[in-house]
Amino acid sequence: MIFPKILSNLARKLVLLVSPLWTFAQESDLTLWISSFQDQSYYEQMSELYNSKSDRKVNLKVEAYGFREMPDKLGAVMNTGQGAPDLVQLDETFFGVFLNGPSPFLDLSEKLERSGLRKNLHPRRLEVFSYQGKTYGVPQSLSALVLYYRKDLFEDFKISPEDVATWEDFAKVGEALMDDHGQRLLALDGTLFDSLLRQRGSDLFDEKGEFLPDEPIALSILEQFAQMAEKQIAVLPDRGSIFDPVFFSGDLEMGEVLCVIGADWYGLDLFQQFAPGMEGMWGMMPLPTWRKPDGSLGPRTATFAGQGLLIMNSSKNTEEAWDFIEFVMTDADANAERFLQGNSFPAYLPAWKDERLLGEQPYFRQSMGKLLVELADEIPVVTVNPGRPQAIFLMKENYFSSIMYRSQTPEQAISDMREAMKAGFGASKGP
Amino acid sequence: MTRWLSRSALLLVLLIAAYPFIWCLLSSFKSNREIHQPGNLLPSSFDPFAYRLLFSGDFIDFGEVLGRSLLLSGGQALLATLVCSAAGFALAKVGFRAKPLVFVLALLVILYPRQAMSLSVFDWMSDMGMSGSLFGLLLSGAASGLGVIFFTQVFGKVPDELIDLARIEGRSLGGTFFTLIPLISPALTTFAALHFLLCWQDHLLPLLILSHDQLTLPLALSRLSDSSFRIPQAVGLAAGVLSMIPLLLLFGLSFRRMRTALSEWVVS
Amino acid sequence: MYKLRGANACGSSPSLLLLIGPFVCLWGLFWLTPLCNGFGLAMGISVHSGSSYDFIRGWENFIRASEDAKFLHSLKNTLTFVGGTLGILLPLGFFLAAVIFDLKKRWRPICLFLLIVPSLALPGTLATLFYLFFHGKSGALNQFVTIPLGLDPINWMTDPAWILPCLIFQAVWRWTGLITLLLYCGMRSIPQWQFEVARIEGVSSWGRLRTILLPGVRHLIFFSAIFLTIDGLVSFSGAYGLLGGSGGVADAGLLFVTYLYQVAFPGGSGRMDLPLASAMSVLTASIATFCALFLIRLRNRLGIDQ
Repeated sequence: MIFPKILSNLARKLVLLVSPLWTFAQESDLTLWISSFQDQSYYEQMSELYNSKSDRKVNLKVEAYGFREMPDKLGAVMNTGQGAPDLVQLDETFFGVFLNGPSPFLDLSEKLERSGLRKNLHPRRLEVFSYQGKTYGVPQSLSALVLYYRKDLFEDFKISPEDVATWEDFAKVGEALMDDHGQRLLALDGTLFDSLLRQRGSDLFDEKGEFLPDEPIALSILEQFAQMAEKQIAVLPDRGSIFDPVFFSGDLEMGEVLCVIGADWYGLDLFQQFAPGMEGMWGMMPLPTWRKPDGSLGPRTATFAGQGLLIMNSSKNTEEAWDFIEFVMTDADANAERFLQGNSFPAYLPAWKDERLLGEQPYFRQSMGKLLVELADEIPVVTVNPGRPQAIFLMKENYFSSIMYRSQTPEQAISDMREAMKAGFGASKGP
Repeated sequence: MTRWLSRSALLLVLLIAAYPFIWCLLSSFKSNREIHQPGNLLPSSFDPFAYRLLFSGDFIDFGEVLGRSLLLSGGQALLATLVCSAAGFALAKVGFRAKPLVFVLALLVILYPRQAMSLSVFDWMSDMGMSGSLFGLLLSGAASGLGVIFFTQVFGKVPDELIDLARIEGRSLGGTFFTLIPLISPALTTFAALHFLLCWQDHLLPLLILSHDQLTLPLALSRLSDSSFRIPQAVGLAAGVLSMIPLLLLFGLSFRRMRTALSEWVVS
Repeated sequence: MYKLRGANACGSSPSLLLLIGPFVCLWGLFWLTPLCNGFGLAMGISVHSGSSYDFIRGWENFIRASEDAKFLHSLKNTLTFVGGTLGILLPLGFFLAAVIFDLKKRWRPICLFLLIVPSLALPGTLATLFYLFFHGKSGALNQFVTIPLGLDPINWMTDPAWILPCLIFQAVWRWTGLITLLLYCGMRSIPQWQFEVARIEGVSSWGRLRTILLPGVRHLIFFSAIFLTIDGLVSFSGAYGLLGGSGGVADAGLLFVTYLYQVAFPGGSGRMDLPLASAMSVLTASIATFCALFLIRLRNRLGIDQ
């Protein structure tokens, strides 16, 4: 069974002789892989900014792939290291996939320490890219969830943001709204589950790697939302996603729901792009929350997704790559631009004093920056695990909607999910 | 009566079949907003902004992408047709010992999903130094198990007398094969067209093997329908419309050829 | 069959090598070797890390595959998908080909041309199209068909009962033109005298369909069936475009290759378990080959196409 290896070595030698016939290497100082066109234009600007401000020069080649395409391609080049980029901008959601086995990313812990970045980046966001005591990525966004709500209709229905401080209150307000006006309150999405779980003080995994350590909490959250869905207080959009453009041009513009839960970039980008006609109608407030056992309010936010920059182990230009990351993360203009161009609110604490980040959003007629800064201290911890991406995908694509449509009880769904998680990463700890 | 019934059924099917092209054409004039209101069939205006953007070169070099896709699919289809018809001929008309083995392996190979193999293929091609090579990608798809089985069928229908005749004339095996080519040209065209289509639409393997600057049409389309929606979706649809035109031409031409060839096809 | 004698019978004829050599080489290089690598992965060896053969781990992969409920579920879905596609497409294609065959000559190319359009569209374009076509109440299908017919709009892509039918519809819609074209070409190659005889004998159009057209294209129907089965078994782009790599609600639209993609690729569902994916592929390919051989033997025994 070892013959493929021998064959491959043989072929490699053979091919080395004739390879000039078909290979043509493209030389570039730094290559960065990202997964959206929007970020491509941002990073191209940043490399120009870097070259004009720094004494080092970089020839940055930004290569944009699709949201799923990029991790696919990264997974493929990881094995051989051939054609791998120096830098990669990866969503937190996918980070765990690459931790099953030796990490393809460079451990940045020491660089973060030495440069002082560690204490200047929001600790909750750094943890998102850390695993087993090592930090592999530098977060570029805060990605904290807020509640986007129809300011105008809240006034019409005489609801004030204080009336929906907890999820219990929220359900009560929603029930009254449904009874009196037949108005639905909230749009649901399958990606919400783990954020809600953290809001209630638990998470998908614990430190020891156990999946759903507090099952009763998970069940009660799901049950609570399934009840809201049953009473039509909260509804799943037609395609089960609040990231669907048709959800904006259909449900939102028709006033089907009054609230959507989304991170900073959801309001900076999607709202303004897909519902430009609704300017001035939407406001932002903290998420409703749960009361802790002692009666005080729990965290009024939690994080969801968000990108970070990572350096590949196979890169030959790690110093240059790090220098560029450090620049993008710390430079005042780089941080402000990321916010102003609608990418994200930065996780770099000193930038939070910048007026450009705290100014009023024309679309919302309200400052997003101030709200996020107010909520930032409450962000709960994310526990990273190689199984986390799979758990997020399973909940989003399989179980969340079947629970909300009541085709499965939360108990059945969670037990199925545990089973599916076992099949997922039981014995696959890499060769 | 039945005739009219069946003809109106045909008309309905034709309408359904034409829908994507019509929709695609109309939508290539729409703004993102209009596209995301699927109940709207007609665009508000027929401003070809998407076509202007497509050819502005801001996002992709459409001409180059189209050329690369045509080269890749055309080259692979030609090569596959040649290679598979030769092998099919040998399987149908020549007795040799390893034949059942070749046949079983061909079957096994067709039935093993390419998606599962694409990572192995990618690794293997990187080992051979072919990552980023269009030529390597072209070669990789040329051995079609389906083609071999198709041509085994086709040559199975060619009467043995013709081959005996060629042998009496003193032709070699290869020579016999080449004399038979005109006889089966409709089958050749059909298979080439089919293979062309499959290659034209392939996404995963080109994504893994080609570098970022080497886009084929499916890759270009997925880049244009970017998740941040910063590129108007109409641009991607415009590319979709334009990419159909060379194909329609190609099929129009090969269809004519198929018909003339068919009327000369004496064997049945 | 024409057999070569002597040394040639062993396949050492230079001519034979010339014919079959290129295929075997290409195939060995781009199919067999990766396949062996894949098989090696499934058996617990990796070409890159150079780790030695680990039978226990290899065996474990196959056990995991056979115990994976989703794998079995996806196989079941795929069989339904293939069965549904074949069951609709073959009769439909034959019917359309026969109708077109009956048309006046100048109409035929136009009809065939229009029919072929869906199969020429790129999956990326189709993904956008079908996304909006099968969307919930604001989707085109509901707006143009369901609601005008006075029915309640159906949430096609999130109703588990409708996901697989939608996938089948998409496949049928995509391949009808090609199958019709293939069968039409087959009908054209039926010798004219057969129709003359039928006309003289006063055979009805139904009889003509059954006694001339159907036998005339039987080998092509068989080929189409093989082609569609294979395409269905390894079908991916349609479901990927429609469901974005997921299996849909309750995995109702989880096809075998979608699941493979989910297991092997990070972008699929946040896993990267190539050994398991390889084990599943090896299992499925062996079963499918066995079935295919059985069918071919059956076909030879029944003497179809001889």
